Amino acid sequence: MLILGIESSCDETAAAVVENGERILSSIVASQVLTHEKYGGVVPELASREHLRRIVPVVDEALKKANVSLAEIEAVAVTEGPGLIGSLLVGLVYGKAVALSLGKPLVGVNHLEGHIHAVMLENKMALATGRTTEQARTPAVTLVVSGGHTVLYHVDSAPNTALAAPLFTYRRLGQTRDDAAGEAFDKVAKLLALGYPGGPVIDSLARFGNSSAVEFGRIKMKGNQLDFSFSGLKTAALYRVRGTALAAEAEQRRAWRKSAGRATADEVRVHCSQATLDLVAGFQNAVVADLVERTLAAAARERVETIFVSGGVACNSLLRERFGEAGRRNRLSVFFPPPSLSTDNAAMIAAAGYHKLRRGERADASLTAHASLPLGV
Amino acid sequence: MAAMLILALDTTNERGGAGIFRDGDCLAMAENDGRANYSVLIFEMVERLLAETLLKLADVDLFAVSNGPGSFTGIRVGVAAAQGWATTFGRPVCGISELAALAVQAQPETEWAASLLDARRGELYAGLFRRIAGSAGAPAKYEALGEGWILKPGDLAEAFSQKVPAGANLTCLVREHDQAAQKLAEILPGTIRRQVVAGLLVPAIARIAAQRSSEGKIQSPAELDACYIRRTDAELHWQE
Repeated sequence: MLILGIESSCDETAAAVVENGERILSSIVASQVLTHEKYGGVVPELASREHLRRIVPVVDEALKKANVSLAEIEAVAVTEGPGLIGSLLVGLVYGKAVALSLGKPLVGVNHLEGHIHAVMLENKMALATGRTTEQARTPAVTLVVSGGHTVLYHVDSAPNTALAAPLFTYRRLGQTRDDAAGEAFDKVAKLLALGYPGGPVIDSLARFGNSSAVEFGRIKMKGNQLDFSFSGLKTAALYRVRGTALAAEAEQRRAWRKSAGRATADEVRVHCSQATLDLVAGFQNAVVADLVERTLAAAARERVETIFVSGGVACNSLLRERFGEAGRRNRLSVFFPPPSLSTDNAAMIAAAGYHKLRRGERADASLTAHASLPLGV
Repeated sequence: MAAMLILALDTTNERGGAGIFRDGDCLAMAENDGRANYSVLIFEMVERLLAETLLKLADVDLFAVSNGPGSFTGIRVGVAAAQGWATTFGRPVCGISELAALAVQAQPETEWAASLLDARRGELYAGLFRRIAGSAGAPAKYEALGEGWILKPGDLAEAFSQKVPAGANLTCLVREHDQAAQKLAEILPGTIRRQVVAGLLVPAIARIAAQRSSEGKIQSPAELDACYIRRTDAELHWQE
């Protein structure tokens, strides 16, 4: 089954053609980083406007790259939420118009379900090409961690039988009570004038800092120990900067960035003192330690042996390293998608949509977007 | 030339709708019944229009859509739907300004037409249109002076006086349900005539699209963009 996937929940306009939920024929992502860069974060109305300009060319390019015509597409899967409502609606309405006018099945996909399926999609491709022999099995605990989400799920699936396609079930174990991890990276990067998005530049700079030079301490949670909170950490970073030499340095960097325009992480590093690099490393270490610790606690509590990690922050190199170590130490299998499938993309939406379509799920003209669409129970 | 079938949409405001037109004749029309969610409503409306006229979307030759100004999300829903349908059937689209759809309804003797729309937040969208010389007698045809402006009510009279020659025949057009625009039109200098038109602009959108199409002024779905006029708050308030 050839599925056209469309994703526009935040600041990436994406389209992909995926065969049988396991082979990516094309995956096009138009990033809006340049649009939002000067604001240091995603501006919802600007994102929506940009999606409308990109949706037609992005879908065209996905079809062209997959070498299929719209008529050959057998179903359309679109993100229905959660996300920015104005952004979601562009991809959803476009996809709905295409599917319904072609008379092809349409299915709405939860963005978070897409991130979970990105892990299984990558694993199927890795198995098919011999890159791995280890199957990503459920039940699994999944950490979806990005600029908009930080949430832990228990994911399970009923077996695939001759009569029925597997039914995936999701149970939310915990989530952030304030900022998403990626958002915290963005805000600290903005505070220190390091650039946008914050995650990749902090990841690069932190390699040159000494994380133990700046201790942030563990994040303590009342109630559900599988919930997250990063706003305190962000404030702690602010206190370490405000009124110190680091603040003056950040202002100098801000002025330099304004005149220099776009800069690579290496160029930014030249303008960072060791104290700034240490702070960045300490902050990243604290975020990563918390994400790993709570995910392991979730796996232990749920008695599962498999962990999936997905979302934009899953690209973070320290996070991958720490999960790798933790997996070996605790005899857990940890699966990550490659960076192209970790960040927002439409291949994961097509892959998740495939399973819903195989179970006979169909959306009609009443399909609409929901900013806070929940996943599972 | 065979009769041209146009599907016209307006999802930019609560008095929007959709209609199917053939060579100026309206075959069927649906008006928003007060529901806000155009992302669902527009599909239901079009489905109903097609059922009434026994037509298929594949029969449509041109997708005409209001591309603003109006509700930002509403504009995008209409444009994205038109783009999706047009792409599927390899048909052109035509983005029509809500201000132009008001202006073409000006009384025949009007030289200058000014369209006013409530932009909320104490502001108005204004468009200025000049009758193109030589088209007197025939259905009125107007040329837009730019895409339009967003103005405070107090600045309107001066904006007109700068752009319209003194003593020119100027008619100010407002929609019947648009209280803010009507209130403003009432305080304009007495030399400016006022005209209240029906709220549903779908027939006017179809009429302009037919005219544009005959002049070859149509677009591919990828070329169609929204015309918001109002910039985003982030852009307006951003400081270095």
